[in-house]
This record gives sequence, C-alpha cells and structure tokens, in this order.
Amino acid sequence: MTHRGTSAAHLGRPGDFVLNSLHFARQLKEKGLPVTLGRTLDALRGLRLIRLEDREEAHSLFSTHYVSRPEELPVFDAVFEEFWSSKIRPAPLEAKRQMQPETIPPLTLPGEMEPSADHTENERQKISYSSQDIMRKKDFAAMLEAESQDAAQLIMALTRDLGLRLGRRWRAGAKGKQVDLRSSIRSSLRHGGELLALRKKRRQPRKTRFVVMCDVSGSMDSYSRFLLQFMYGFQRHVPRVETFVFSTRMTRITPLLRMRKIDAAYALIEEKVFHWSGGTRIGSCLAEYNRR
Amino acid sequence: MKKPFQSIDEVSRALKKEKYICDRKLATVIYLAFQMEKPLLLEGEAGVGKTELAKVLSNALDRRLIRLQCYEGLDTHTAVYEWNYTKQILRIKLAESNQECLDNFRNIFDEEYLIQRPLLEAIRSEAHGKHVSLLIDELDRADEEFEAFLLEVLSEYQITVPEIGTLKAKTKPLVVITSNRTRELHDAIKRRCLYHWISYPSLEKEYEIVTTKVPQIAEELAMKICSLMQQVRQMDFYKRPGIAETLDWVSALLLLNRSHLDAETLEETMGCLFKYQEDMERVQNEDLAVSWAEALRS
Repeated sequence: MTHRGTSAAHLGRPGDFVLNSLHFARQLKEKGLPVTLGRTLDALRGLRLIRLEDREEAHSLFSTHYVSRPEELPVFDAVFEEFWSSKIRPAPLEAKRQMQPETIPPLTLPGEMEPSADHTENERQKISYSSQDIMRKKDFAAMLEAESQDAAQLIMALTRDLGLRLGRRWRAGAKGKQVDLRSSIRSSLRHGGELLALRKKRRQPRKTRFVVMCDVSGSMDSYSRFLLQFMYGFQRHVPRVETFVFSTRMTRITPLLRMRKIDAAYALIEEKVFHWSGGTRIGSCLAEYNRR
Repeated sequence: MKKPFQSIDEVSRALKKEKYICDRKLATVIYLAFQMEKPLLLEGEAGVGKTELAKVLSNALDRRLIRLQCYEGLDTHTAVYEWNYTKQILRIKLAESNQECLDNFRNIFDEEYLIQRPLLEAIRSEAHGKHVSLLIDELDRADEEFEAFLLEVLSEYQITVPEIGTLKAKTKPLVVITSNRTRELHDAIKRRCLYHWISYPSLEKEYEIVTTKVPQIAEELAMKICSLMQQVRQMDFYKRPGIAETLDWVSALLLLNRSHLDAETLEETMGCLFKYQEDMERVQNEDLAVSWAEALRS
C-alpha cells in the first residue's frame, strides 16, 4: 500500500483521511451514485496529487471519480458539503494527531467539538453502520429492487420482438442479397486475384428506439407509483428509451430514471416534476412532444 | 517520464495563454488526467468548449492533435486501419504483367498499402516516441459496438494488425473524449475515464472569455451582452445558446460595425444565437429582440 503511505505522510495523520474517504464513498453509494472499489482506489491514488487543504481541488478529485452524469452532480455536491464541511477547515494539528487510528474516526475532529456536542453525536450516528434509519431505508429499497426483478422479466418479454428493424450497418452473411465487393476481392486475393466466389452481405437488424409516455394526472394516482416502477424497469433493461410523463404539462424524465437506486430516482422525480396528479391535457402534451 | 504539467496552476496558465479560460475544477481534472494517465471524458451542452479544450491542450503542449469524429456506423475500417485494396490489386496486376513472383503476398501487406486511421495513427506515434493528443469527438454518436472496441484500445493502448503484428504505445497519449449525451455512454468507458461536466459559464467567466477572445469589443458592451446571454439561457429554448454562440454573435456585431444596437440589428444577427426555427419564431412572436435591445442600451 504505497499510496497510502505517501498520502499519510502528506497529511501527517495516519490512516485517518483514507478511512474517512471510504465513509464518504459509502454515503455516496447510499445516495445512489455508482461507487465502486476501483473508483475509490483511483480517487485515493489521486489524493497525493492535489493539495488537500484546497476544497475545490478535493471536490474535483472526488467528483471526477464518482460522478458520471450531470444529474448526479447536485447529489454529490450535497453529500460533499455535508461530509467535508467540518473537516477541511484548518484544525490544530495536535488535535488531529490524537486520533486513534484503530477506531473508526468520527466525522468531526475532537478539536472542533465545542460548537455543539449534540451535533457531533448526530453525525457520529449517521456514519455508524447499524443505524435504524438507514436499515429501514435499505429494506425499502431492497423490496423495490426485488419487485422490479419480476417486472424486468415481463418487460424483457414484452419488448423482445417489438423492436427490431434493419440497421444501416452491414454484416457478411451467405443469406445476404447484396454482393460484398470488398470481401469478395479480398477473398479473391487468395486465388491469385481471380474472383472465384462472390461474398454476400446483408443488413444487420437493430433495436428500435422507444418512447414511453405516461399519464400521471390525478385520475391515475393509484397507478402512478407502479407505472413509475414500470418505466424505471423499462428504461433499465431496454437500450435507447426516452421516458416522458405528462398531466397538464410534459416532462422528460429519462435522465432522472437513470439513477442506480429506484428510490433515488423517485426522490429526484418528486423534486423535478411539479405537475404530478394534476389534470390531464393529453392533446397539448402530445402536441408539445411532436414539436420537440 | 516527465509529465507535462507540474501543478494545477500551470495548467490554468498554459490554457490561459492559449486564450482558453477554465475554472479551477476543470484545471484540477486536467492535471489529474496527465498525472494519472487516464483519458478525459468531457460532457456538457453543445458549444461550451469541449472540443476546443482538446485543441487548446495540444496547442499548449505543442503536440499533434489526432481527431476521430464519431458517427453512427463508424467501424474499425474508418477508425483504426484499412488496407488500400485498389493499390493492392494494381500491384498484383503489375506483378502479373511483369511475370514477377509475389511470394506469399507478403509484399502487398506491408506499410505501403496500409491506410492509417486516427486510432492506429495515435498509437503508432506514441510507439515511436512522439507525443500526440487524441480527440474522440462525440462518442455518443458511435454505436455501442465501437464503444466496446474503444474500451479495449484505451485499456491496453495497443492495436493488432494481423498481417503486420501488434503495435503498442510506449507512452500513453492524452485522450480526450467528448459526448453530447444523445445517449448514455457505457459504464465501463466512464469507469476508465476522468469525468467532467462542463456547464454553461458564469457571468464573470463568460465576460472573461469574451474579452479574451474578442479583445476589440468595448468592455461595457461585452458585460451587457454577457448578462443578456445569462438571461437568455434561463429561458426555455429548444437549444440554448452556448459560449460558442456568444462569441459568434459578438464577432458578427463587430463585423457589422454597428455602434448602437437596435432591435433590427439584433433580429438580423439572431441566426448566430439560435439554430432552430422554433427558437427563431419564438424570438419573433414575443418581440424579444425589442426588449433585449432595450436591455443592451440601458
């Protein structure tokens, strides 16, 4: 673990920063960001290339590794703000040295405990793993994930035959109708430049693009959660899907549904779609879609 | 090997010298890309300077820029290499008429008949110790199959031409990938790259860019135009104008040499800002040119 050694030397407080970075990564994962061990390792490797005291540089380092869609940026910013705000502010070095490397370091440093002990206590709970709150959230998410497994199978069956059309790319094949000149000449080289056999080519079938439009007006209220799950599953398992919801207005939610966890997607949609359970104006919404 | 940039500030300075204004976050990511030898994946709305960044970087480092423009149906023949069939056939015919012997056709599968495409060119340059920058532009337009192929190239930095052998880059080139998000890139690609989302510039940044790129413009006017652009981007247009559009517009206004900006001038030059009929119609229907002209005069 050479990088760990160097970064620790850089910091003057062994282990501490690395562990906290791992906690940070886990919080991001909870919020639905695509955190993997590989990314975390890379981010840690990058730690010694930047000046840790510089917030903006640290922000860049982590965001470039953990964020890969613009929709994830606000989520990342919020977690980053909450997690590192009390940390990066310069605290006396002695305080940092007092940290026990073998225990999980709390979010706030001992030197910064004065403002409110309560607050620190809360923060501590947040990262301690078996907090009830988090567990409940996890079960909920897990349940949804399990349900969407079944839904996924249905969706796959539904869409398998729906959307195959001929693509623009060619593939060599004996059943093809058109002569593949390039391949024919190439094979003729084998026989000293005499065209012995004609190679054929054909169009390769490719998947159609889908547009899913969903009515989420008031009258559909009792179904809309299910529908949302359907759309989530649909988009997840079928490539090239655009998803829209409409009631009185129309909103494109394709990017929102791309979140890893379904409840993260729900939260985003709740935030971004204002016209949920409103009236219905199908005509004007379809017109708007056509215009776009 | 000595890395091209020693610090983040040096990145900012080098880019500024090339008249590219970037914020500290982007500079950090660029610095990391060089230090960690990872490709840079830039996403953002059209016209915020993604492609420009690749050009400017290779200028600043005095490297050759090899550009691969992606499109639907892009395949290895156009991206990596291709044999010059016509030349090969002619060579065979020539051999035939001269009654000369081509042993095992090795003669016609050598470099003379190889057409290098961007990826092979980049790897070869690096293999021969010449640094290049490779720009893979608008990767979202290429098919998924090509993306998978690219993944292989980006992880090994080597390309195999069966008739010749395997070429491996001794050093890694700077790779800049851009995407307009017409579709989501595969996670595997994203994992290998350093991601950065370039958003529309802030007022200060846009002002700095405009005055750097078009120094002839009066400062006051530049400021007014920039704040107008910020407002325009808040509005719900089909395609909101990026910084490239702002620069076009400012240059157009300078070329027309209008000392004062009235609604008519604005309307004449709207083509610089909006590229869709719907947006132009909206500007006309809502008489936006008039109110914008007022905003610029006040």
